[in-house]
Amino acid sequence: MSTIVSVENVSREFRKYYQKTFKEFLTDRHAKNFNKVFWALKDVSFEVKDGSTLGLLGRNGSGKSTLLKIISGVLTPSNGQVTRPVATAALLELGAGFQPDMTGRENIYLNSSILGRSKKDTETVIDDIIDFSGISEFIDTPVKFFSSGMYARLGFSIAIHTDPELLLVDEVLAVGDEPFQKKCLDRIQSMQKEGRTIILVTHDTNTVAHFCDTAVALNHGTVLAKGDTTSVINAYRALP
Amino acid sequence: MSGQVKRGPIVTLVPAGRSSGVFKDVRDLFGARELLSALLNRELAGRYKGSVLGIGWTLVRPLVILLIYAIVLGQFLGAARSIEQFTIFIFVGLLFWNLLNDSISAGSVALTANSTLLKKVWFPREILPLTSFATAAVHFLAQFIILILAYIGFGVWPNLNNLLYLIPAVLITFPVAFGLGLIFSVLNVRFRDTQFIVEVGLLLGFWLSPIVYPWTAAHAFLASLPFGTFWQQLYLANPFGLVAMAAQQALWPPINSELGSNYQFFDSPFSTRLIISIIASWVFLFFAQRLFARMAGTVVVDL
Repeated sequence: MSTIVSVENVSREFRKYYQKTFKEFLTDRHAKNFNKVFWALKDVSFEVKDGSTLGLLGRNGSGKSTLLKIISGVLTPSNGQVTRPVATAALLELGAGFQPDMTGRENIYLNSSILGRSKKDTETVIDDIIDFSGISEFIDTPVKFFSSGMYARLGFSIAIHTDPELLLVDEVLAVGDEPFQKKCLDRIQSMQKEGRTIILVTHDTNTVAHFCDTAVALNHGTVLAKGDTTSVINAYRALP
Repeated sequence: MSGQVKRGPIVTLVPAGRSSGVFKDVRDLFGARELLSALLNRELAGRYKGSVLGIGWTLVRPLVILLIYAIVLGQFLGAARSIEQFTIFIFVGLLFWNLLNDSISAGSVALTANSTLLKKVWFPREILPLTSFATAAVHFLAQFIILILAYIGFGVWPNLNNLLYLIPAVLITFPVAFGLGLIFSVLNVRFRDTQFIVEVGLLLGFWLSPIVYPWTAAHAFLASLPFGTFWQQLYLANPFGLVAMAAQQALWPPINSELGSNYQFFDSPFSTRLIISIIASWVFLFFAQRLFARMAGTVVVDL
């Protein structure tokens, strides 16, 4: 199996203080606040094998979401680089970019195009998307009338139907009610079987043990452990 | 295990500012044309959803503005007595001005208004200001149709040879409108003052260009000031002023009449000033894109 995703020496800094107006920019330029930086990620490297599932473990504030955003391309790294397939879908925030006044169906087309799908490709799977979301009854209703659960269901359904090579999942498995959660998990498992590569971000060691082939644990922005899931889980549990 | 999923192209993500080049960015933008058309559709159809007049609303504002200028300046202040077909005179300038104005004012908030999208999904960021520009361009075409209807209504037609002046007018307005949209969109994320500066700047730009008055009026006034020639040359260096003059020469029918010829400015559609402005506009667009590419990678944090 070849490597499909490689994260090489990735670091990401954030300024602790950001000025918003031109005046502040001019006056505070050399003030010490301006120069305070915080490293959310420091020199993180790992690889993901083609067709495998990697669990990204870490506590709140360990940098796992930042890393996922860098892999997805939403954030750029401050140093280092990431190589990944173009066809990447991120289940980061479901239904991002839904237009409230447009119907569910219209939003499927819009959202799919944001995720990089052509209109023609979307047409071939639109029935599957609607079917999977389980809200076919309301699909021609403006999404502003949707409940947050319906919103997330539709968003999830669109994202998994973009035919990704790499799927980034950020603990959104808590979407919807239990039957729908189960459906999502089943779907993710069938995507594993289809040979798609998955990076799963979580702080639940059971999820990692159950779903993943390999794992990486982050602590304060650095790699605590990487490799087979058992040793990574043990290292993560040993954290004070 | 693998094999069922097709292996596609690979992308390398690097720190902002060290990325790409203009060709790669243009290629990415071309690759995202489906997204552009979806977003354009959202702007054109989505925005007016549920309103009776629908997309017709986009024409109401420019037509009301036109009516106000035609009545207040043309009739109350009497400009229509010295300028034949005054309504068409100001309409042709407004046509191009509205394109610039809409593209810039919508473009300056294009990133801030779509912060949820930018924070969660990656796509070529230029798409958002480009959508603002494309929306303005569609409105431009719609107003052009109104102009043609106005010709039919008034029973006048512009000289066909003069229509060549449309080429430089378009070749200057398009890159400037898109380029300024790019710059202000990304600056507005960093400095929220930008959108207010833009508002004031657009107001100034409108009155500094001969849109609702002929360029000769400003020219005569500036000559009366100390260092008159300097001010005159400064006034004529405004590329959008040249656009307005080219638009009048192209689309205002009386330009070749005895009275109207006083308002001619260019001796040919490709006179030196126009050519310099065209080149400058495209060079400007190039640098605008570079600035955008440099800043866009980091602005997400500020949203």
